Amino acid sequence: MFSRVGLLAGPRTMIMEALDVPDKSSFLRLVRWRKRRWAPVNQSKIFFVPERKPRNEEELKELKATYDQYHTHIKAIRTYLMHDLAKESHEKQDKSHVVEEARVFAELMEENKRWNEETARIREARQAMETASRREELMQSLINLEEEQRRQTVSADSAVRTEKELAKTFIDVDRLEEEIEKALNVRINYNFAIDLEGNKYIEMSDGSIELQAKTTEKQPEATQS
Amino acid sequence: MSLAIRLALHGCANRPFYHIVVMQTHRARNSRAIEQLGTFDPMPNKHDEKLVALNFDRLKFWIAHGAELTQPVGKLLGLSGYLPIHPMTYITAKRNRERAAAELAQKETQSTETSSDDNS
Repeated sequence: MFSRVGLLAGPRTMIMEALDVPDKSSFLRLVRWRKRRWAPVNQSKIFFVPERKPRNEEELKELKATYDQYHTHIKAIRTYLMHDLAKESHEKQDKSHVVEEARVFAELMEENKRWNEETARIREARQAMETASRREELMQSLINLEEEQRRQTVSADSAVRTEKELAKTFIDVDRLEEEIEKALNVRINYNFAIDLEGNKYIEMSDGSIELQAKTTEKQPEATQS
Repeated sequence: MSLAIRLALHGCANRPFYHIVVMQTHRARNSRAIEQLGTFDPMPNKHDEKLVALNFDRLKFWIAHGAELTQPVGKLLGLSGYLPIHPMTYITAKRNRERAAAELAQKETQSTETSSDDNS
């Protein structure tokens, strides 16, 4: 008893799907052999050549011609049937299919149009809002600019005024020698005395003594006249 | 995968009966077919008829899809008038004619021989 497993290889086709139904006969096959499989060819049959059957040449010649013709006819019929089948299926499809498809397509287009209109409405509203806010922003920025310019003018004015105030104390070339003389003549004494309470006694430039009471705040140790 | 429209032998001992089936060429004769297109009863019934039943719609479908016809099926379809007569049908008919003619000639010679014997 031998079993043989039939394997199906290659891409799946309509026919293979049709074959999907389980079929025991194609997978398990019982074979009864005349001899054991490993038994050699019989001694008397080793050089046996079967006799060729007689050929009827006349018949063969006739068959050749008629077979050629027959195959041509079959091919033509096959082609015709193929076209016929294709045409039939095409015609069958067209009537229900195309109309239904067109209707569905029109419906979809209608829906699409509605969506487009709604979207356009939303978009226009948004764009109008955006334009208004942009305009407001620009106006605000203009106002801010003016404000900034005004502020700058004011600060520049004040700076000029301060500088003018300061300019009075500036040392120019004419008064340079005089000022140098003045600076050289100034004597500052950094020494001071301190009593038990922490009061400071500082000698001023004119010789007088100034009492500086103790405070919690930090005081400069020496004062300049 | 080459397909063929071919005969599958069913029936039992001394009673052949064929299914006309679509099947791959390499598969065993009676393995499961893709589709059965009809039947063929080769034994003449009491009215001396050999009956063939065929689904011509499906036959057309499978021929259009490239299924080849085996010789016996080709012969059947040729005789039914659906396809051109198969070349082997002509040859068989010719052989039959020749055999019949030979038999007739033999009979005639035998009869002449017997008649001459009677005369003598």
